Amino acid sequence: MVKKIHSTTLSFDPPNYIQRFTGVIWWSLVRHKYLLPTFSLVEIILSIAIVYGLGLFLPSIGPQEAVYLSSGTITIGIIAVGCVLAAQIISTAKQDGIVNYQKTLPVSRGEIIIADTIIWGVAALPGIVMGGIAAVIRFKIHLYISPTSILVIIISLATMILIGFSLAYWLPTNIMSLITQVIMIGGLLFSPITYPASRIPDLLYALYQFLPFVPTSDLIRATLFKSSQFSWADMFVVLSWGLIGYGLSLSALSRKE
Amino acid sequence: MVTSLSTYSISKNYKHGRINANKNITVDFSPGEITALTGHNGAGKTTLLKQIMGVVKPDSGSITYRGISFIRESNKARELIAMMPQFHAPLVGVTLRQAIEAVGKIRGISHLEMNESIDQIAHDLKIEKWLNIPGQKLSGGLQRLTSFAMTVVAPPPILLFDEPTNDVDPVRRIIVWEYLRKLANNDHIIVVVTHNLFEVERYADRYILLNEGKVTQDEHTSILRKELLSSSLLSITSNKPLDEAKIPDNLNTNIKDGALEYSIHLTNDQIPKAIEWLLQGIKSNKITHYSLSPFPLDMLYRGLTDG
Repeated sequence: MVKKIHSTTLSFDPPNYIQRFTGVIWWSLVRHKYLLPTFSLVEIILSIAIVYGLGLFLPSIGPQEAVYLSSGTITIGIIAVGCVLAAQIISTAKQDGIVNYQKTLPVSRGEIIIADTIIWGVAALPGIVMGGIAAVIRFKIHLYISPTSILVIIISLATMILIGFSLAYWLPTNIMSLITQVIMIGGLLFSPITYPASRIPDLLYALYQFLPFVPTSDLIRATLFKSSQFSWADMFVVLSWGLIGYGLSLSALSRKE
Repeated sequence: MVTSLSTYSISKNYKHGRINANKNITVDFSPGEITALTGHNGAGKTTLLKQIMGVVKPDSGSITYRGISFIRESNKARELIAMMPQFHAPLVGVTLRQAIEAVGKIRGISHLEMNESIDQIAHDLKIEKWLNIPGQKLSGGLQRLTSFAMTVVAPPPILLFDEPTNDVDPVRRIIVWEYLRKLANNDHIIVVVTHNLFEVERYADRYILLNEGKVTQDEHTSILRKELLSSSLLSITSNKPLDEAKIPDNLNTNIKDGALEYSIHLTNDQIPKAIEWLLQGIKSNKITHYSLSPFPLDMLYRGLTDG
């Protein structure tokens, strides 16, 4: 026996923006209640592994190497969060039908993207903090925690997550996995993120200046470690990639069959 | 202001026009009415729902409600429509309660009303005892009922359901249809895609039959019921071939080759003579089994489609 129906056509009022947005965030948090702490733990382990593990490759670690390893830890952690882990989570959500289901709910596509960016960004913070702490303990290095350095980390995180989302939304799962692996291996081994750019050919370095990964590490070194000059060009590249990632994610979600 | 949902000349093709999912579909859906959308697999039912919902864009035509074009303003469509998908709503990692609550929050149920709303729906659908079970551990039927509950929590004016009673047990199927009736009584527009013709006949107000992307039938189920009662089907099994010349007057006879099975479609006036002939057949031990019933819906349906 149906006792009550909670609204009728005549009294229907669409929910307000904040309520909808918090609803999307809440749903995502509940869905990932076990994954989020695991994700943070993996980030923490990754940070410690880079600080202590990569140092083993070097015969001696001077001040410059210490800065590169420390900033590289944070940068690679951010890349791992956005371009690998967040991308895989969205890809799984796509396969599970969550993405298609969300498309039928009264939330804008932008709200879905921003909500997910916030969630995975927050989940990445423990790893970033632990990376900083590990660097301080291991290399006795000083961190310049300021509004600028925090803003740079937030922008970098958002950019990488948005790149990851756009890969996941647009590409089939197997291709997306391959690309995220290439980004991660490239970031760990071949990009001048954990070592100075002078060690790679000029042409390759010029190419890296247009990709978001090296400018991100430059910005983190310039603000959190103050080991180089802050570059607006780097900021422009990172912001541009963030906008490209957002635009591609938005167009993928807005696309109609 | 007209409050019906109108689709006008909707066409949708896939694979560069090789597949015509919908062809010039013009139908109105009215508040207070349960409309069943039936047809074979691939007839274009789900495509039509998705176009109304705004997730599939028609190649031509219009979809309007209260002067709003759902094709141009798909954000409005999402506010005014809730759709239960053909496959289960995503429930991995969330309990039944959390799944309903998530959609309730997004659709604007206040914190104070939330628990009451969820408990009420769970009570109505008789799924209370599974409220705190994770979705992936629920049976297919319970997952579908959860998906149904997610659709009807804070119901907007238009509700679209894609096969809502599939996998659901017979008792709760009736509950689902009763719930739909209550929603219709509250002036919601209800559109249900289903293959279950008996449920259509019994619970829907109107049915639209799609065949190869086109509307081939659109009428009230009261007419359908009358049509079904206006003729009968006499099914006979014999132990040897019957003399076809002696079969009484009928609308149509279908003989299954080799199986000695006869399906005789009769008008109500033709029934007495047919029974006389049937009794003779039983006496002479030629007829071993028979049944007489109102003309079945599935045979009528087959006659209306290419199936």
